[in-house]
Amino acid sequence: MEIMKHYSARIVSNSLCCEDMYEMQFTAHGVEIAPLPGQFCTIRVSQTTSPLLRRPFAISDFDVKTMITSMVYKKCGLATEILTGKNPGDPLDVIAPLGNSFTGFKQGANNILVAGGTGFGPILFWNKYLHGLGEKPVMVLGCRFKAQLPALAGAASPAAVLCTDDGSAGFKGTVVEYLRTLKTGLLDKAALYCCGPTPMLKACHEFALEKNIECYVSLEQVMACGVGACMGCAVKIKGENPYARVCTEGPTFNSRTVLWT
Amino acid sequence: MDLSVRIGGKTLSGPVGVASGTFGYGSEYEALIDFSKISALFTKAVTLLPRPGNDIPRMVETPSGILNSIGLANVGVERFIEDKMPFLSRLPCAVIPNVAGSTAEEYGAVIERLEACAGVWGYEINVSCPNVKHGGMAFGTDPVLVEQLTLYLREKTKRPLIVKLTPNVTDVADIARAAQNGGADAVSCVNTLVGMAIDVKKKAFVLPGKTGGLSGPAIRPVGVAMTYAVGCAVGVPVIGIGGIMNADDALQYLLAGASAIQVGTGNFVDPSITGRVYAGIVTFCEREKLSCVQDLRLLVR
Repeated sequence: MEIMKHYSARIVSNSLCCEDMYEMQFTAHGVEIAPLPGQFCTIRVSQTTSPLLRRPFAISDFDVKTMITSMVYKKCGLATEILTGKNPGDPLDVIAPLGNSFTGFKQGANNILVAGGTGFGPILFWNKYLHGLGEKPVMVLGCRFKAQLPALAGAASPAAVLCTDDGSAGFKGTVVEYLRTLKTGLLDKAALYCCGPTPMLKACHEFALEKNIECYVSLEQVMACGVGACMGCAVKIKGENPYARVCTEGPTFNSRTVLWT
Repeated sequence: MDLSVRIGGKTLSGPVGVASGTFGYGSEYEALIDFSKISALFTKAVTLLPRPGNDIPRMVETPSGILNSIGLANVGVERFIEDKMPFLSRLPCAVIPNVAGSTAEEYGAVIERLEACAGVWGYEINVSCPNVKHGGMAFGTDPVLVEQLTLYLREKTKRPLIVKLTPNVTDVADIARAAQNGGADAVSCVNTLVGMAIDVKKKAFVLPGKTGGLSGPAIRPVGVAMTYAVGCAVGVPVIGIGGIMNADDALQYLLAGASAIQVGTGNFVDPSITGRVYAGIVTFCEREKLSCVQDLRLLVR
């Protein structure tokens, strides 16, 4: 696994990509990192004690040529509000890459990538990565209405299926309702990769159980250290130890190992 | 410059340690930090059997602090020895397991087991965890129990025994005196303060156990005051803990009477913090023309 590094990055861009969602791009400023889809970084947004903790963000792209890392975030509190005020050229305190990338990928399988809400980032990165390996994944992007669809490279690709709750764009309904319309053949030997709100992840997991296909989810939890030391970011799993750390055993999990409540 | 700290007949190379529960078993931070600037690594609490820890969510950020309820999640002493000690033994710093238990016998059994490990420098006795029903703070708030437990553990080891105090008492100096009377070689001052957060929108406790332990800069003035009070009350070294984010914060503790400090929550914010704290202490001592870091406490007016 790629070794985590703590470095001062430089912001390249920080722009609104849809309602309350931003895409930030930064260079590692000479530090060599090679994050994979599903991994995350933590950012210290301020040198003051408010907010205090670093914040975790899934990596939404990494360009090997330019060494630019991207992440998508939603303005939803003090830390992310401070982030929206950062400008190109500003330094950024980053630890990356952290956690496990998506696993379980099988060549030639029907890889179906599902994103909702702020979960677009890692799914777009995984989509790009799989394309790089010559795969042709299906990408299903869900949001409540059209204005929530982020203007991100990849999201507008013809291969992406858009689902909106109100039908203002693409398929009218949830991502799982869309998955139900897929022909059985497409679900043969399929694997689902999902990132988004927990109810969506749970619905994808249940769909995968019903269709007897693999399902991998990217989970979120409040995090303190981000490196496995504090045991704070626990989630419930099935097994001898009833908890796993999102930062170390995750954030990507086989959905069948997760204890869904 | 003499940066060393004497505790129970042994010597730590310097005054900067990392606090239990914030540094795992050390290896988690391997890629990120320079261990040579850390003089003592206080491990994640070790109990006799593995503990899964408390229900989730386990933490929430509060103004300049964190409220946590981890519940001593740890691998248990056998796996600690087998899986964690090999890495820890290779570090240049003193390795001090934080020992916890539900009963005096459990604390004793953990120490007996660890006595066989050559890489263990000493023990920090956790009588101050606020997030478990038995043991932890239930011991640490009663001076009689603290003295009895320390006496009992004193017989099990010649290694330095450091009692970690809880701030959740009327007079922390009473507890420190009890630890000293029981034979403790030092006291760590302090563990987290009991706190509570309520989600107003959901009208619900944020943490399933309702309360958690508050750490971070929010508690620093409490830690400094308690370090001063304890330092006035006992003759054994005091290790100051609570909200240290930079060298000035650490110097507050050292000036208040601490012989050493531990960085806790600050490690989460900036893993390289200990290096900066260490360098800042050295610079300050040089500027003050001190030949010994232990002379800092003589300077406060």
